[in-house]
Amino acid sequence: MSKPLVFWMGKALVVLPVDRLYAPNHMWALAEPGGVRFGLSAYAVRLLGEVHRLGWSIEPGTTVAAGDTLGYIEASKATSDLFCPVAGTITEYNPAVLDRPSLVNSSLYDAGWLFRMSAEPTGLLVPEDYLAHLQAGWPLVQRLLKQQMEQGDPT
Amino acid sequence: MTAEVHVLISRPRGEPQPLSTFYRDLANGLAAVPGLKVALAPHLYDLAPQGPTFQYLRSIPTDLVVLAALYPRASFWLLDAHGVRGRMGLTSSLADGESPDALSSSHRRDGVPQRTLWCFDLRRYQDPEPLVREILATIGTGGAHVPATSMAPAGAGPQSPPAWHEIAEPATPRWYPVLDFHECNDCLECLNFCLFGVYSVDSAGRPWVEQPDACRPGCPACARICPAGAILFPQHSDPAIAGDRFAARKSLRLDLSQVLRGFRPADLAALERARALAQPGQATSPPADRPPASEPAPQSQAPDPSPPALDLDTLVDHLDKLDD
Repeated sequence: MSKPLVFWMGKALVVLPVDRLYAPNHMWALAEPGGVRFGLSAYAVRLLGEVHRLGWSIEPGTTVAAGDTLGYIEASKATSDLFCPVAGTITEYNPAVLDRPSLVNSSLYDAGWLFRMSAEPTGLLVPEDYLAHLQAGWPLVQRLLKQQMEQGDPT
Repeated sequence: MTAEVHVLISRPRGEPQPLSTFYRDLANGLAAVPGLKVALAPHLYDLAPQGPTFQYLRSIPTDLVVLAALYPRASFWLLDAHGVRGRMGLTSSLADGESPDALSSSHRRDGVPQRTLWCFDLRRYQDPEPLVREILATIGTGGAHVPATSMAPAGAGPQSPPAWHEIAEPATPRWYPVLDFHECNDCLECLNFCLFGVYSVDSAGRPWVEQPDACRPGCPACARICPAGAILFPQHSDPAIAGDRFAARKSLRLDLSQVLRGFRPADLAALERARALAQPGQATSPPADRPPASEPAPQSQAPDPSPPALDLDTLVDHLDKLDD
């Protein structure tokens, strides 16, 4: 088994298993007989914190384009919309995660998967390229978040 | 409970057909209680103003329990906007210390019927049974606990089969603002700000949502500019905008949507720059100690010119416009 790649977010270590592909929107993708399964990468989960709630606004069976808003996620540090990583059809949302959103934290690369799609896994990145994507974007992401924190503080 | 009480169970988006166990057990559990009339409908926010569900709700003169995957404040004002009016009932879905009468009072609520609307947030419940028990306790005798025997299992007697009905209404996801008239102070900023003609003004000079479906899906900009915090987007991912008053009083959590949208760094930087060029010093007033624009920022080592302080909210709106 190949060793996972790692990325340092400041002092925090983010692990990227190499048995799967990654989308630029910080989701992992596993191609399986039943379709492509997606979940959030450790990078995204690290930014979010403890996941409290998530919801979906697109019905299973709907054809979607890459970048479409699928739903939202709320966590201890952040909220976000969740976006479709590739074009295709949403076939299933993980019911276990809807019941217990904390699975995204406790088992992010396994039981904490988010949804399954019938899709061609095009436009996805091999782990090395995703790592390079993280490294290239990290300074800007830090700046965006820092500015947001400064402006979001009501005091 | 002295008179018949109607219960509307609003199915959240994505709830499968046939019903999941939670909703079936919830409907059965409530329908088994004498005096409760239970109906199921699609997600409250997605219903058509003149559709069968709102027509049904408007026809009910008695107390009403509404169960939806929405903050109770959002449910209450959503109902109000569609002519389903009453005083807000105290439920456990309200934050600690929130007074329902204070939340639902408004200078423009003359003539509102005295009946009670109890709004529960379905997202707070993993199992139907505690919710059913809580509803019965809430509507029973002003919040006193109802004995556990009231929670008889559905179909306990042969004469009482579960008698809920499902309102057949096609519903597709909608996106529109809901005005909290308790908070609204008629400043008309929303009317001036919205580019899509969503808001109008009534004969008394007060704003209202005249064209809800002209609203730009995903755009919460008017909620952010409203000085009174009176505009809700019940489906927005930010609890403070979706109707959680408690969240509004805390420091806002980060919005990671720009990051999780998955833009390449160059795209994000270009957006930053475009927005900075388009609105020089407009949206946010720069700190007093900031150097004049002609001088280089002392700490900037980046090869590109450092943009002015970025207003992420404006960036969101800017992203929306780029989708055109």
